[in-house]
Amino acid sequence: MRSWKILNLAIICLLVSCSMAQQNGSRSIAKINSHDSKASASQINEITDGITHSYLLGQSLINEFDKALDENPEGAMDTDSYSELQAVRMIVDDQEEQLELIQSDLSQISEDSTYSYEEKAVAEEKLSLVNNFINGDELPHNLQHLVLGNLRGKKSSFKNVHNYKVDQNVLNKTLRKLERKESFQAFKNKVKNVGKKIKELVKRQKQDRSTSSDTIFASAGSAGNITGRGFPANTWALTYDDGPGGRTSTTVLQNLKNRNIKATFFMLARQVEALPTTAKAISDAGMDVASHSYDHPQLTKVGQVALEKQIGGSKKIIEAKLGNPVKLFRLPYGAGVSVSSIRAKIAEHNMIHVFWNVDTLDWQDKNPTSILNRAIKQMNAATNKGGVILFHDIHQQSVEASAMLMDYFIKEKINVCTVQSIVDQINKGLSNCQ
Amino acid sequence: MAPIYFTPDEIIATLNVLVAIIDWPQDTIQNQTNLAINPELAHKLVLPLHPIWDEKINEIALQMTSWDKDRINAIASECVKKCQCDFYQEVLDRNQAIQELAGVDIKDFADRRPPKTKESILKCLQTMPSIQNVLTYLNKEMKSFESESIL
Repeated sequence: MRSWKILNLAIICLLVSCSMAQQNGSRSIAKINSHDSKASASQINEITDGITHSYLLGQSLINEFDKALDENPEGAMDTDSYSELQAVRMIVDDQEEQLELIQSDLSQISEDSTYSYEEKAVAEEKLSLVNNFINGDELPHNLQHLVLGNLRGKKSSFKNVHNYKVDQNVLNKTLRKLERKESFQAFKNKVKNVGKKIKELVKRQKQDRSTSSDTIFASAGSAGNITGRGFPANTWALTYDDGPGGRTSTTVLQNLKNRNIKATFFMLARQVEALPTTAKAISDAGMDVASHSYDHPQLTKVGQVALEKQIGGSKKIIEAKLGNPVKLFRLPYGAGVSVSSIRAKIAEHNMIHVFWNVDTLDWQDKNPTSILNRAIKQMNAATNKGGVILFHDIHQQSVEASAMLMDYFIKEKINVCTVQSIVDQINKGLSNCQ
Repeated sequence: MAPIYFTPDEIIATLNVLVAIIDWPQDTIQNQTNLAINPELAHKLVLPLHPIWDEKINEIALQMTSWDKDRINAIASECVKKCQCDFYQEVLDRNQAIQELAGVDIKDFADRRPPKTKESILKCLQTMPSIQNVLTYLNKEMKSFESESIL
């Protein structure tokens, strides 16, 4: 298990370091001198120290990462140890490449007759610094393979290095010694800073990915149909269909206002025409107003002309009466979600279809307590404890049951938002919908 | 309109069965051993049942306008036995003219009936008409109510 994790980590590290390097457009983090043969002795020492520091600190970070994986596998990649490991990987790759170039250049000088004896002598002195490092003269035997495995084996993989069993006591003792050195502290700070930058970049990439693949928009495909099943946890949208319905809708509105809760009303345009004052009061109170067709036919049983009237026509009427854009639509009875021409018509009018994942069945049940229990049972069964709850604001039992549910939300500290504000939360990557 | 005619009794009975499966799955399935419907499927089948239920409300409302006060009151009294009070209450709620015809006592009559319980519903289900034809129809209709979604 452990070796699998390390192998996996190695692959991830290699992949990430490659992609990060490509993003940055260079591999110059530890580059000291563009003309490697002219690298000074102190610069060579800086590189060799860097390689030692990278592997020893890296091993210690791997231990921390393994611990994080055991404790919380899902959150391990968000830890500082993981981003710092990525930083170490990037730094050490660059340093090893630099050292190999220096070694190669210096070897050529020492063998090239065009160089003077003095030049050759200086090159050989520097070369001995590199070779001594690769021989491992200054490292405990047990740590030599860890630090020098790549340089000795040339192109041997990170996996091979870490499959080699490191004596933890020797490692800890060596790290304790290094802790006293200023150069090691500077190196650790460098790793922390690079790690922080990597973490920010990865976070931004994740956000970009989430907004591009999970964005909700008017579409005949899946992006244009909401059921509530993937809503943020503990976030519910209270929705009312078929209104406005006179006294019942007015009472629902008052109940919402009294509790400072916002809901979404899928109105019938015919009802908006009949009761414009009630519809306006709902809209003016900051509730979402959406369309539920003109007069609630089953749209799978109407022709194209009627379909346009029920979807496009209803939107125009509601917008004209209330003065706000209508962005959401709900099919009467929920019928036609799988019919591409119906979904295309909704998208054509720039609306998102909203289904539900909690059906209170309030239209057929005159007992408010029974409706409430049914709603709570489904809410508790919802996998993410979030979604869309369906009521109808034209029945007295719905008025009473939804008021009880509002009290339940308050008591249980459950987030309730309009559908549109949850869509905005998801699309804009906001932390909440309030 | 549904292509096949179903009686109001068949539609109300089907609705009672499906809602009972949603509310009390274990007890209902034990009571109705010939039905292989789980709560998830019951939720799906209720969707195409809703428009037919609406049609039955309108159908009965039309009939009731020609009934006299005694007949309406008799229905309101006897509906408990068949677990149909909520249906008839909805007919009255939607039709002011029928309420006026039946008299002020009929208003909110369902509230004065014994509340539906698991036991009373299961008892009603034992004497209900066959609902197989309705279920066959609903299974076909259900397909237009299902779709992929992002959330």
